[in-house]
Amino acid sequence: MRLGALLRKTMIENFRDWKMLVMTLSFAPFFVVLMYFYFEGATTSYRITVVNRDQGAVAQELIKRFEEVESGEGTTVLRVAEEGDLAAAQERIRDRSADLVVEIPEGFSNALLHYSEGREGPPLVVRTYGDPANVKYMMAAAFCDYLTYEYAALITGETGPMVLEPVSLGGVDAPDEFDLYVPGLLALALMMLMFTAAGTVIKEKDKGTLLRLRISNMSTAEWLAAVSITQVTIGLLAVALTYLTAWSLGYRMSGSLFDVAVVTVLSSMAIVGISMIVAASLRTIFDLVTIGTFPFFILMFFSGGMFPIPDVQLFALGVRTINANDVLPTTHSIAAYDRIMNTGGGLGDVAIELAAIVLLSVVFFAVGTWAFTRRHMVAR
Amino acid sequence: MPVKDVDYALSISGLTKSYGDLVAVNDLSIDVHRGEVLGFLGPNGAGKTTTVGVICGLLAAEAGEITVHGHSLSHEYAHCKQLIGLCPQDVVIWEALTCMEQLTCVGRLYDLDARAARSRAQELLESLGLSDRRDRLAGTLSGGMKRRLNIALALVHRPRVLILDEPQAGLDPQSRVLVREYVGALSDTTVILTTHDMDEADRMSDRVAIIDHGRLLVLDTPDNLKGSVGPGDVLEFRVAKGQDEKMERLRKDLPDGVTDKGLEGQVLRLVGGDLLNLLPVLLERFEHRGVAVEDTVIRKASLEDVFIGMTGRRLRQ
Repeated sequence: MRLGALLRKTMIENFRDWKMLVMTLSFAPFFVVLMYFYFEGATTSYRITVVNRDQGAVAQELIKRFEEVESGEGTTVLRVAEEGDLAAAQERIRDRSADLVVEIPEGFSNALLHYSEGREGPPLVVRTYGDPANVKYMMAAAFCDYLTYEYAALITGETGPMVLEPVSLGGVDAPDEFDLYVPGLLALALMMLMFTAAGTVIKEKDKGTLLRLRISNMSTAEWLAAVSITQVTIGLLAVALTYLTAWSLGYRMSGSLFDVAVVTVLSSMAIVGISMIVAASLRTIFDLVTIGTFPFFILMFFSGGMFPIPDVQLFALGVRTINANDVLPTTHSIAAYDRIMNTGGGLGDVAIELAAIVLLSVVFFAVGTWAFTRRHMVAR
Repeated sequence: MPVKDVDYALSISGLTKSYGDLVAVNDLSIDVHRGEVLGFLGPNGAGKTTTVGVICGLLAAEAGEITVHGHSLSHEYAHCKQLIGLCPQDVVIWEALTCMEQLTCVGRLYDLDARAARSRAQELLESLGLSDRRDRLAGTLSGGMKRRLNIALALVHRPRVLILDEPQAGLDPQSRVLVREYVGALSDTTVILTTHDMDEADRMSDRVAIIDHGRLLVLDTPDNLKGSVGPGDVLEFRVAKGQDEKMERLRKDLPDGVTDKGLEGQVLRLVGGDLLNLLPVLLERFEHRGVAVEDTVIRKASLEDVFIGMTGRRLRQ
């Protein structure tokens, strides 16, 4: 009965505080739209600059083969540009207008033709240049290496002792760059719960209404249950809106919505737990929108959803390495979303991530509740 | 909620509470009769709000025992919660909820069923003149209406002991009368009224407790307390500055039947049985001593005089 009253009150307050609610619900969808336009809604492509010192027919054919590589959706994978000067081409690497430079040496065509006629000569050197800091560099290099070797084998008829045959697992088309961001953006939608969850609690302190709750028959557990249920509801709404935005821009999920909902519910609980720690440390809404942004940014930048971050190994647990950002529940949320949404995994495939989220939820919730109760709910 | 058949609705015994080195409440003992209105007076920092905080379970006492209708606060807190209603000094309402929503919610938090909570909320809204605002968000109410809602929230669960912490602050005259009449009509409820307003305390209280520096100075009916100041009237002379020596001489030369209650700043306070008739004589003495009088006030003795008599300073200092 008391839980019902508290739940109704908390729901009404959260949904009437439309500015905070709109901010929470629209933040991640806004970034979805932003990312979509940033990546032009296209399949991932790699910019190759070719410095062709050969000008023979074989070299021209190789370049043509680069240009003809297509994704499963029929879009161009390698965007090829030619540059006469190597230094100018290398400058493109530095200013990121190219992901890879391929230097085709002089005499490339003749050398391959000689090989095809059984005549041997010194080995050809086809140099590639790239910036290891560019995440697209290695993929672009892999594509070009493979195509070059394949084409050389075709011309010379020398297949070598093995054939490299890449097989795609997961049963889905290769996700493009935009697809890869969607799980992180779903987690971003959940991170925003920190403001509504901590705000709900801090507002009671800030406005003095916590006093009325404390002197009533309500228990802290009932109140936190009401807050949690409300925040999980908002979390589900935020994730649904974020997904719908991505869907309207062409994103198609491979896994099931139910599995996504399970990850969302568990992750929301973990965020509420973190929010309780934040709420225990702060006294006013002003504190929340200033100091409270610090933990939000930690979640946002160190969960691995926005950009890849290097692993900082803490310890090993069996065969699994535990990294520093594994203490953030959203790290596991992003991994679970990615597995379900982009590779078609089910709940069984993300069991470890779910277990980690549950464990971290329990820990954060316990610490947050203890700290808040001790600071604000106990007579001292 | 079972209530023990005891004489006192609230019994405070040896209550002590400190904040670091500051002793806010010092060995305070008060017994409050069932159904009485107890005025709880004291200047800022006297320990009133701390005492209220301990009674409501918001603060922990270092020593002492409190019983509410015979139930120990420390051992039966859940039980005592149901018996106590608190109207805090600040307006403490949920601005995003309507009047009806928050009264119903608080009723439910005190375990009223949904229908009873709604019915009680409606009853309170009508009694406190808020029925036409029942579906308005509390944040949109006027200051006086918010104050009345603040009081209503303390009454939803029909508490046996109602603590009103400065309930009249911020109320317009019309609302003051409304609240005074409503509180006066709470026949079966014991009311603890903490206030700075001497007149309000005098008018509403059956007994008045005055505390200062956390200690109980006096506890009696308003009439008895005012009688203790002295018979009759209080006469106050405000004199010009820089006349200390003349004033000293004047105070040694007061006529019979006049009691010197002390000089507070530039105001000399005198008490006597028939001061109106003695006024010409007194003014002649002032003139004779060369003391320039800026203002003269004659009035009946008040609780403020009681406080000044006991502490040597005004309540608001």
